[in-house]
Amino acid sequence: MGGQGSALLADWLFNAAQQAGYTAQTVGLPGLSQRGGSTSYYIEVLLSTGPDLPVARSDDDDVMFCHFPVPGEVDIILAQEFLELGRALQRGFASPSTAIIASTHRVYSLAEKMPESGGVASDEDIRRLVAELAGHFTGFDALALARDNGLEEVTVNAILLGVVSASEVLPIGEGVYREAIRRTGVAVDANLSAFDLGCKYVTRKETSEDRVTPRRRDDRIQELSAQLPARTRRRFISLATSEVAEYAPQLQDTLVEACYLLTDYQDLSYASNFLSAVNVVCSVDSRDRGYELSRLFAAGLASLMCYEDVSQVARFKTSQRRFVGIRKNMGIQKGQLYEVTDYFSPEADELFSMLPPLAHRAFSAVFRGHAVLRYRSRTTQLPGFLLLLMMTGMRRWRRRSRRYGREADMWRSFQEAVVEFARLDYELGCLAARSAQMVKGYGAIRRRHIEAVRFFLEEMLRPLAYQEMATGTGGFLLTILVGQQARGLILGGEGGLERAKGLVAGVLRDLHNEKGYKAALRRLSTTTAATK
Amino acid sequence: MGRNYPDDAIYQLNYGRGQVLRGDAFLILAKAMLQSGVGYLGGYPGAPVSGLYDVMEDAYHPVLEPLGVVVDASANEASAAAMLAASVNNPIRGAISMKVVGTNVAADGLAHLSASGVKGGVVVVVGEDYGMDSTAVAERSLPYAFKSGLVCIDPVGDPATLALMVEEGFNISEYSHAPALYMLRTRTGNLTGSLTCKDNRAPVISPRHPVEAMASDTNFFPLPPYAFEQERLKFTERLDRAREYILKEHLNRLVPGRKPVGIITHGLVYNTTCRSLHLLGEAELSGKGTCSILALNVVHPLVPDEITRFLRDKEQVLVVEEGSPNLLEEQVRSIAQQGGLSTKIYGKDILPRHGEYTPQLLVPGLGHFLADKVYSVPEGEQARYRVNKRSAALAGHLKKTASLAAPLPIRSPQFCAGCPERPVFSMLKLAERDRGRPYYAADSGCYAMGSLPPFSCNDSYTGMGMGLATAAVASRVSQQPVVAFMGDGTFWHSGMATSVANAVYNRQDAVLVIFENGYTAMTGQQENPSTGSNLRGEEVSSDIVKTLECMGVKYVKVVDPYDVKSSLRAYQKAAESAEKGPRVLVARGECALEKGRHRRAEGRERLDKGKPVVRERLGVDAALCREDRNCVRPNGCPALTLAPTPSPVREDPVTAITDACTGCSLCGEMSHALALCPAFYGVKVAANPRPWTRLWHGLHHALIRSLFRVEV
Repeated sequence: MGGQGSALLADWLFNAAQQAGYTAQTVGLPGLSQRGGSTSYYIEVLLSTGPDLPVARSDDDDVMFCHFPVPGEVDIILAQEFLELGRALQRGFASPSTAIIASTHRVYSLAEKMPESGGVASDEDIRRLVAELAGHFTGFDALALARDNGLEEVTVNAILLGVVSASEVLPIGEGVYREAIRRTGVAVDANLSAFDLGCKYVTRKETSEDRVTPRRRDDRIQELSAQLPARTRRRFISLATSEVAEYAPQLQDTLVEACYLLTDYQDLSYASNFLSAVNVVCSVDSRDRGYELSRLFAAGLASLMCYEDVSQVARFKTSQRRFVGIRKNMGIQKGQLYEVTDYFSPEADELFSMLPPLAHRAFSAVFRGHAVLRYRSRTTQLPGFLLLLMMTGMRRWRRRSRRYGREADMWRSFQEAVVEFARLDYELGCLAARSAQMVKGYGAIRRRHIEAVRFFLEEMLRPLAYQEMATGTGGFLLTILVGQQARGLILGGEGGLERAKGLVAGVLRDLHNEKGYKAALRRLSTTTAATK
Repeated sequence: MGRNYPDDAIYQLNYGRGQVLRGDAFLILAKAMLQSGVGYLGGYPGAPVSGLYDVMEDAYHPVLEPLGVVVDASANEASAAAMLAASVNNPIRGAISMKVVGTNVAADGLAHLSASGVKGGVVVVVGEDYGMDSTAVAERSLPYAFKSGLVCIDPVGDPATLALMVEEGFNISEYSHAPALYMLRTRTGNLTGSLTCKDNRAPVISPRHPVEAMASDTNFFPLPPYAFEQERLKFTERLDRAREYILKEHLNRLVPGRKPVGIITHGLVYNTTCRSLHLLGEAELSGKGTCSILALNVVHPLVPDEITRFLRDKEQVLVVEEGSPNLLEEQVRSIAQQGGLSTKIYGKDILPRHGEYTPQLLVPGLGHFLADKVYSVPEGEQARYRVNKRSAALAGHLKKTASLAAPLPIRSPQFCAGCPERPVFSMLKLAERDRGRPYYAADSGCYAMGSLPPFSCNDSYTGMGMGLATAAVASRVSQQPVVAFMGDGTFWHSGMATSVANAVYNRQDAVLVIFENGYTAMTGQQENPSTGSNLRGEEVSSDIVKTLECMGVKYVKVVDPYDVKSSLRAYQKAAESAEKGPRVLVARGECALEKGRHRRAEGRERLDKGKPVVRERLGVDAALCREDRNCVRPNGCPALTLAPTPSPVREDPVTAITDACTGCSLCGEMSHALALCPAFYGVKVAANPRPWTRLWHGLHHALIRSLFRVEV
């Protein structure tokens, strides 16, 4: 991929091969790689001419190097990014005798980032290719390895070279590679230490991925409670242990996390309200489905209940952990000063909907609610910090605010919908429960999404479900298929909701009798198969 | 300034007889030119010849100037071609380089040059880009040379031949008086190998040994009445002498085979043919095997005697010629017919009519030829089986790997992090929200990437400098307003006449955005008249704004692309202006790649000196990002990416900003302009801050700490 120092890696290998006394040729295709496009460098090294290939010395019949990698004939594939490995494999370069050395980190392509949700290529697909095609696979997050050792991201290429050296896929000594790095003369010290990391990785297999070890729940609860103000700690612990314990074990992790979020967001009673709401859904859930419905609902409800109003935003922006995080992420060292400028653009209504309904109505009579207040705050300086802190204060009367009223109505109807659909069909219930994840963004965008969710539940799933009951052959297969596709469309970006509406309207038209139902079912299952 | 060669790489150009140069094709070509005593160099950058241009630049002071080689960074391909006039009447050798589409810009000059003929050897290095993704296949070198009566060299793809053919290019051009085209394929151009050197030859005429006056001879004016005589010389004498030279010096490579079967191929395709035959078990890695191979290094003119001699003792011959029109194949057929030969000749009837001849294409193609034409006889049974098996194996393997997973997302080229051109497209997307989508006329340069997602701003594109002109009709017949793009490189190349002068003169109603980033960036940040200095490092001050005003453009506004708000205002004013004729916005911001290089170097220096250095970056508060990605779509910055959500109750990834961020603050500007979210923040980090800055910050931090117990 452009800008990852592939050319340099190719140079190192070429120089190493030549110094080791082999004739070699590199063909690089920088093309537009400088602009982050896919690119490939191809190196041929003449190790031996083999018994069947006597190499004549005279100029005329010297070995002809090829300028194209031949599918199935490549011995070593080095990939500095995981998707690009997938691409190389899909183009057929590898064969069961190929050694693959790759960094498993992902750099997302624009195509993956465009839709409002999903769109990201699954690592599973790539791993399947590897499993099918790779002879010998060394894959690890070289980027993380570089970062952990305080090296620049571009040193991934030197790390991979280290792996090449240590795994002895080429008859070239470690010293020769080092010499090649020195001779090329680019960031020699950094690249040499990255090279060592690569060597060490092979010899010691110190992997930097899958390091996460499952933690015990009680420790987690302690950890979380420590971040709460002293007065609420004990009560939070009792809530997170005793009350949560009454729920199915599959739910408890999610519930603990959710309870912490809600307590931190508002207070303990807020968290217990949440639990009782979850309780309602649990009553229609079933053990043999592993309480998936309740888990989805709990996660969705919690994320709805911690909506980012101005005071929540201000609270985070002025929180200690935020500044700690910034100092870490920006690599700010001792003796360096830093200054943070925050970009705020709330709608006027986001601000005064923090008031109780009556006052709010008075205000909205005067102001235009959707007017956007744009300002930049120097949050690391006193004035900016103070202003945000004042907004944080509004948290106290949050539950009496107009905004709270609106939000609460929203998640109440969400809960009712989940219960209603779950009674009809479990899968359908899960689909409804996941719809809370569709609420994204702030201001106008969030309004659009909330409306989309309402429409999704009330005017897509509901009519579809009842129509399918009427004309269908039992079950809610069609409704679920359409629901999933509609969800995808809605989250697909601009005009998604309209496309989804079109889809649903079309299906509803077909649903007048069993014949139309079957036709629609056939059509949709094929399209879903195609998209899969 | 493009890819900079390390000094020791450039130093190799001084190597003498027997020393071994290691480097890429561009170094090798440059070395071969010096060994041929080249007197002057010129050209215009473009894939894949930009590298040659970069060598010219890096080698100018250490190597070329001392040797007395004249070097110009031509304003465009036409001026490069015009340089060659020096060799018409004078014994001075010259070489210019351009990408294949550039031959169209140079056509007028090259056509007349080929009419006059040359006294000093002339080589035109043409970046043949067939099958590559870096440009469209808008022109092919062979047909071009064919109609202009030029010698056309397509060297076999190994360093020694590359170098040899440059030298022979000068020789054959001098011997035949015909200019020579030298095809440099993108793959060949980007190969790295080694070359055993010869001594350099200083040019006979040079600034070090100037002539009193240039020789001149009216007989060589390519105008009537002389032109008719030149026509005779061009197509009879010169090409015949070229044929004579090709035979005399064995410029084409003949690999004898065991069977009365032959393959005629050319240039790089020969390498692929050898490998494909090897894969089919028909040849060694050297290409030696069952079939005789005639590998043409000179694809025009062909030498009938050579071809006839090759065909005579063959029963079947396959012409492996990449792309169309298949001029080689048809000439071979006609030569065979004239020679009354019964050899069966195959070509595009077996091999694909278009597309780059990769092993994927050639293995089945050659397999088919061998199995069904050569081994179709009973005794060929065994060989036929082997060939079929091996070519089927490759096809099967490809089919399998393609089927294993769904097609992976493409990774198309995009504007760099901090690019000063991207914000302009973001701004236009903002404007579209209330003005509707205008008609976008694209042009050649980085900004052509604005035609790709997320912007998709391209309704017409024809060629370099023609963007605004492509909308000449749209400006009059469509109700959409017209917005055209042009870079500074393109402006100086030809855009100012082809598009701007044309628009002013015809009072074309349009908004033209000129991206002034100070370099010809797309081909690797080569200097152009806007840079302030030329390839030799001499100061030059060409000013686009002044030029526009002198040309009669009434509305010219320079905008800071990163300040989206004000550039939007300027754009709206330009769009609404009652002014007839083009309104021009000049978006001035240095190419981010160059700026980055300067900044890093400068920063290191200042740090060492203990002077204050300020680094800027943007960040996203993952805890506040609500995953809607509306910040990505109107931005498309490679540094703006996704990361797993920190929230245990959410599913979708949040946006994040990587180290690649240059702190151009477009993310913040856009989240403001679109009222997106409060997640974006900018950070200014100061190393070695001045005492009073330290004091000021210290004060604020102390107050915040003591009042609110927060350590900012």
